Amino acid sequence: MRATINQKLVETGERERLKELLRTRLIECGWRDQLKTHCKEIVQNKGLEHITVDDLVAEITPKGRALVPDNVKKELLQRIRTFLAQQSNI
Amino acid sequence: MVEADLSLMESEPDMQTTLDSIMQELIDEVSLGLCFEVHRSCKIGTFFLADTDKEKVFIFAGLIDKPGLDVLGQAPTKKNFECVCPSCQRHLAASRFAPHLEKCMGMGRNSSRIASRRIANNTKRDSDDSAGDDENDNDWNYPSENKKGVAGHANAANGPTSSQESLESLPEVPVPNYENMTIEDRKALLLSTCGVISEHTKKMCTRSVRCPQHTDEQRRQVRHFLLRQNRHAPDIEDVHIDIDTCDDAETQSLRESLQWEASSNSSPADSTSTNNSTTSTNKRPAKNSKPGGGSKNKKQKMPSNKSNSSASSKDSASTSLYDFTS
Repeated sequence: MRATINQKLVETGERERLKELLRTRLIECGWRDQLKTHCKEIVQNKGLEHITVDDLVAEITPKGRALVPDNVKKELLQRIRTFLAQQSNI
Repeated sequence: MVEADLSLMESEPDMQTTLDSIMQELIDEVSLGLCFEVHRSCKIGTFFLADTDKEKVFIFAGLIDKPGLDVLGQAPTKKNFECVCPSCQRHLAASRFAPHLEKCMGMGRNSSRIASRRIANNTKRDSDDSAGDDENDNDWNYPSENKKGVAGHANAANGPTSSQESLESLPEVPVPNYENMTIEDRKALLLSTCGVISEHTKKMCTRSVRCPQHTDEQRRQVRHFLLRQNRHAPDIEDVHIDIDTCDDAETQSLRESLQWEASSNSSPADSTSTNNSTTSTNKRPAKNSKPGGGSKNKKQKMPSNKSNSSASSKDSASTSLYDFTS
């Protein structure tokens, strides 16, 4: 079921639109800046030369998930629901 | 479609988790994008560029941010900029540079005249030097002696040129102060003082006969000039009055004056000066005849004057020549 929904989102291009919306919302609410300062701490701890993308992803992803504000999450969920409703109606 | 609808309808909490997972996926993708971005900037070296704020920069570079001081912590001091004059190589404060240039290179109204004259005199002096004239050596050394005083440098610069100018422009420039003096007064003055007439002030030098500012040549010329003027007056009178009666007396007085003058003159004379004196004395009657040439009376008297006084004038010239050289 999840795969079908994903497929629909990708096929219609709604997924890209949702991602773009999420990115702007996260920038607006300061999520991105928070994560970036956190990145700096990580980089300073690890050293600029030794940092890898995997280190960053491992550190950032859980923190990113936790830091997303609830209203952004709600808005995103609402957008997905309305999309699915439109799809089911068709 | 029906299946989707059904699934939506059937399992609402299941649907919720599915949507959550999709949303988490999107969030992860965004954060992954951020991670890529950060990593890239780290490897490029631009990551910490943005967070160098002003305070850190100042601490790092040891700069100071205080009112009244520049970034290096130094109080702004008024600096005296010095310029070097391209003409005379002197160091001058920048504020005085423009007025100095005016005088030195001759940009102003009056100063341009003075400067052009100076340049002309310099070239003349150079040619004189090449001719090997000993008299100019005094002139040449003079500025270097006087350069010790910085304040009087303008005078030092003007000194030789002005004296040079007085030398050259002597015959043309009238001397108002000494024009009215009697012969005896002039002689007394010339005995005690240097007497060289300055070109600028039109006044005589009142220093001693051995004054270092003027050369012997200048002194000699001044004496020639002044005493020639003395001798002018009787000659002019010569033309107007009856010569037959007065000629002897005039020449006698002239001879006396010349002897007196020559004996009082302490400066050594050279052959050129005596030549000048003789030529001038010989030429004088002819010169004097010109202004009075309009009337017949004077014309008639002139030849007699010449014939009568030619011997006596020659005599006086020879005596003066002799006395000058003594």
